[in-house]
Amino acid sequence: MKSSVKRFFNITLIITGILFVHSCNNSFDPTDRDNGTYSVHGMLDLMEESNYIRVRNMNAPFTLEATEELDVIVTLQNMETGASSFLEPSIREYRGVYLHTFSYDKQALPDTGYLLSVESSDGFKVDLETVTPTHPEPQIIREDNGCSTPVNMVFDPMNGGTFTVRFGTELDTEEKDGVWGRIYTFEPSNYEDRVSISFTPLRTAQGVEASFGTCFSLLPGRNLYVAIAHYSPGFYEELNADVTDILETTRRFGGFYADTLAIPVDPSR
Amino acid sequence: MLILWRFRLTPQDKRCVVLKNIATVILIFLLCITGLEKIQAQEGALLRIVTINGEDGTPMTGATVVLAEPGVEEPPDMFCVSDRDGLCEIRNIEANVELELTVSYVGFQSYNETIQFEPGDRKLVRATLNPAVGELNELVVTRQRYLTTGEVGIQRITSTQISRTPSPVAGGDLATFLQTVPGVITSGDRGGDLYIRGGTPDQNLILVDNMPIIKPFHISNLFSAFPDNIIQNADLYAGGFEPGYAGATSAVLDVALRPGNMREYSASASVSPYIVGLQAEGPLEKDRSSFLLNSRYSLIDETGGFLTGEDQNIQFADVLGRYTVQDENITCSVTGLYTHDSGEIVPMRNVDHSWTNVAAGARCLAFSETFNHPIDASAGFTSYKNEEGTPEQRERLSIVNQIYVAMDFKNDIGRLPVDIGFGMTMKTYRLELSERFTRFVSLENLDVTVPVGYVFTATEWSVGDHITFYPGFTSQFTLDMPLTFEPRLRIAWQPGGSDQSQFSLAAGRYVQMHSGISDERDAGTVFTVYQPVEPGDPFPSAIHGLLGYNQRIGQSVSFNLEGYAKRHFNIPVSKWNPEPRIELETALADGLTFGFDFRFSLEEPLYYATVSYGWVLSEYEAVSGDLGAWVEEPVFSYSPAHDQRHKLNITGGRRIMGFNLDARWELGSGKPYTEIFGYDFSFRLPFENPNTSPGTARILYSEPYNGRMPWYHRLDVSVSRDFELGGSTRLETQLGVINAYNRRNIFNFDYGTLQRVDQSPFFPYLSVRMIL
Repeated sequence: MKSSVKRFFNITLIITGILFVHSCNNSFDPTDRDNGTYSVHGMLDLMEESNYIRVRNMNAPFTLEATEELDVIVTLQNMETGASSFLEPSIREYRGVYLHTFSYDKQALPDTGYLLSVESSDGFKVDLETVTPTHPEPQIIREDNGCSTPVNMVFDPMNGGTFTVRFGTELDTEEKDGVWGRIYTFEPSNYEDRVSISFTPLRTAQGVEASFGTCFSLLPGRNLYVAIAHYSPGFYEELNADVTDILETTRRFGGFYADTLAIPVDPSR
Repeated sequence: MLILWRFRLTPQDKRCVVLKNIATVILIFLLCITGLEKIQAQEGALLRIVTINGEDGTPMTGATVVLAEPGVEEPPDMFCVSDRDGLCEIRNIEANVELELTVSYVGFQSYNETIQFEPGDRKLVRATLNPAVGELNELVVTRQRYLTTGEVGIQRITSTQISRTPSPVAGGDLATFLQTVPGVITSGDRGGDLYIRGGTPDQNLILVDNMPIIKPFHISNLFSAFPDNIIQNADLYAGGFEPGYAGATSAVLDVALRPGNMREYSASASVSPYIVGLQAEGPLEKDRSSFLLNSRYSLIDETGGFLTGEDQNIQFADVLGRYTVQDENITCSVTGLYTHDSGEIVPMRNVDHSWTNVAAGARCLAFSETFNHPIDASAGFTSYKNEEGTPEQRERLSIVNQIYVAMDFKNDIGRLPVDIGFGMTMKTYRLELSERFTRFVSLENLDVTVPVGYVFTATEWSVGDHITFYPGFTSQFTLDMPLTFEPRLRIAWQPGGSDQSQFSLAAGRYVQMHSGISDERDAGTVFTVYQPVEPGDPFPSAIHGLLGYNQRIGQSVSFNLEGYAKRHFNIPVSKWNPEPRIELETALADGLTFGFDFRFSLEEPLYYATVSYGWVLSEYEAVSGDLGAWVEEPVFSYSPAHDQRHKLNITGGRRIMGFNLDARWELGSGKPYTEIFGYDFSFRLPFENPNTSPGTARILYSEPYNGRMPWYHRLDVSVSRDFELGGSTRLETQLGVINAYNRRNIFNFDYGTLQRVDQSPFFPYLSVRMIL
């Protein structure tokens, strides 16, 4: 019995030693490197002469050392003409992290397909496509500038992007915010090839201000303001969707423009 | 119209139906208790034995009681083992036969008495065992039976086992020993939570002298409220537990505290770098009543930085008092317990955790020659409070208060012993969340009281000489919910009638009326919301199946092999979101756990060794949409954070020249965690321009629990020696080290600070206990 006990201890010691040596790997990297990917955030604003794209290596933690280098080339191709442009890189430091931004210094064209490519030297590539929204001149159809005269505002053509409208009675200034009503959203399912909006300035102003004031009191600037935003097809939905895929939330690219129109109003009519 | 009305019950009608059901069940049991008295005819005699330790006058657990005809060589068939009250019973004794009663316990002189019964006799014998001097009586050894009672899923824990596990306190602690049990998982070396065979802490029932205590484990996982020198014994039911335990779906830890010394006064003081303790006990009336006081307070926040080079910002304390009175026919105890824990689980996170237990309860066991059965009654109050927040402000608070009463009777139906019991607990749940969290969670601030009752019955039925069935069922009820039906069964089979080996099986259904919600993705948080199950919602429940084989070889060697499976239903799990943040929104998941444990044990007078290995697989599944998971499958399966596949513990010790050498080595596989998908700066397009705005830094989770932490292992060693200083004064000393080869074992990865948090480094200690 005693020799078997000794044998037992010896075997246990050997097994323990083997296990100890075998299980020496104690390193720990919490990053899921199988994804090995880049995040891309940016848009083509039709109203801007230059547009900017932020690219980041998502495996790089938030340190100066890890973010200093970004081994990518970013290009933007006009899919109508085939012309391709390299985006100019720039780097700046922000709270211990380097930020890499790429600029496109040509004005983006409306209703045009673009392909944004981010490619690393080891061949990993991210391609993002978008079609910029159309940029129709708004048509204002009305009999006169009267406060109670119906107005029909038409945007034509549209190419399937979401369109948002917001009415206001005062513009934002540096000192204070303007006065604006709720946002009206026109999704592709709400229109065919154009967006037509009908309203009456006085009723609209009363809705914005939530009061039954007169034209004189509600519209002192003699203008009813209309803030519009027009997105690439699918871009608005992408920005406002519930998270179903993490990867999607790290790649945002689309076309967009925003503008503010002033609808003149004559309170005396 | 009348017919239509019958099927359209109003809430008041439903409550009426439930109350009627409750009343019916209680009535049935009252009839069983009183009516069955008459069924107990003059069939056989009854012997009750109370075994007393001659050293201190306290009840003795685990003494073997044998009743046999003198001179008969065959193995006796009338025997029992004394329970935590020192009591055991032998029933249906043949009358008019001279019998020899032997009560024995290793290390003590046996008690012998010749006894004879008249038909229907009920005798009570108080057997006092005095310590043996010199060689063990051979008669004791040959008459010693290793009595097994369907032990699958049960770990019987003694204070000796606890004291042998290296621990930075003189004597040892239950928490340290529990970590050597296969199937028992902790989140590391801090947090105070136990995961047992795939179950979560809120699925466990912990009883201390019948008081339900939510979390008696300290913030350092090396300590609980129970040092070795206050425990009478502890039973860990890792699954398949008997009907008397209601309200848990995973495991039960039943701790019995010992009474104070009934004959002599004693006091002790202990100190180690981790903790300081005081204890006092003694008789209030010799052999009749005693007191026991024990208190401990941590020092690790003062000494940890010096000894380990790392600040240990944790504090804990516990205070226990016990009054015991025993008479010829009754034993009562009153116990009070207070524990408090606070500190930082993850040092760099600047989040404070704390929890407090307050408990006071009384228990009486009455037995006499007049009653046909002993009556066990207990009542008391417990309170558990846990909170979390910044040092400046508490952000989350959850409280559970319980007022309980329980009674347990034993009786006979014909020749079948029947155990019947019922209990009622008034549970008050309170939850307070700061505004920062109420905006995100579906939980609301809560303050509700729910009465929960239960009844149970169990019996024991032997078929032939070798197989015994232990069927029973439990039923729980509240005012708003239907009765539960929880059948349970244990079977024990001793092949060939040998008491050296046994196959056992346990199965059953288990239901609980509450759920505990915590964000398991983050080991650095231990805050748990306890709340009752809402009327109309499904109960968390489980089905257990266990199969075990136990074999003894001679006097010294035993091994045990157990396989088990648990199926859990309606487990609340945190919903997922792609960003690491506290998440208390929940979805319901189902879980499946299966695995096996193997234990080998060698016990010799001068040395011992234990090898235990556990393999377990836990898997949860839930509807992906409910979880908020960004996966394509409609039902998503994953391994929860406590799915530790492999755990190996080797403990051993030897006595050499008056010194006790003890060592423990543990090896465990890594637990699941969620990898980081990436580090990103997000933008609120089109309102933020990448040229002018930096964006918002965020860390994104990858697919939930898709990674495994590295394996860990740790060696703890100690050498101890006792010194007799004259009179009854004794000095116990222990020199040891935790994590002897200073391995960096990971505790968790903190996503907020992007830092790895390790478990305890090399920690030397010298602990001293002076006993007067």
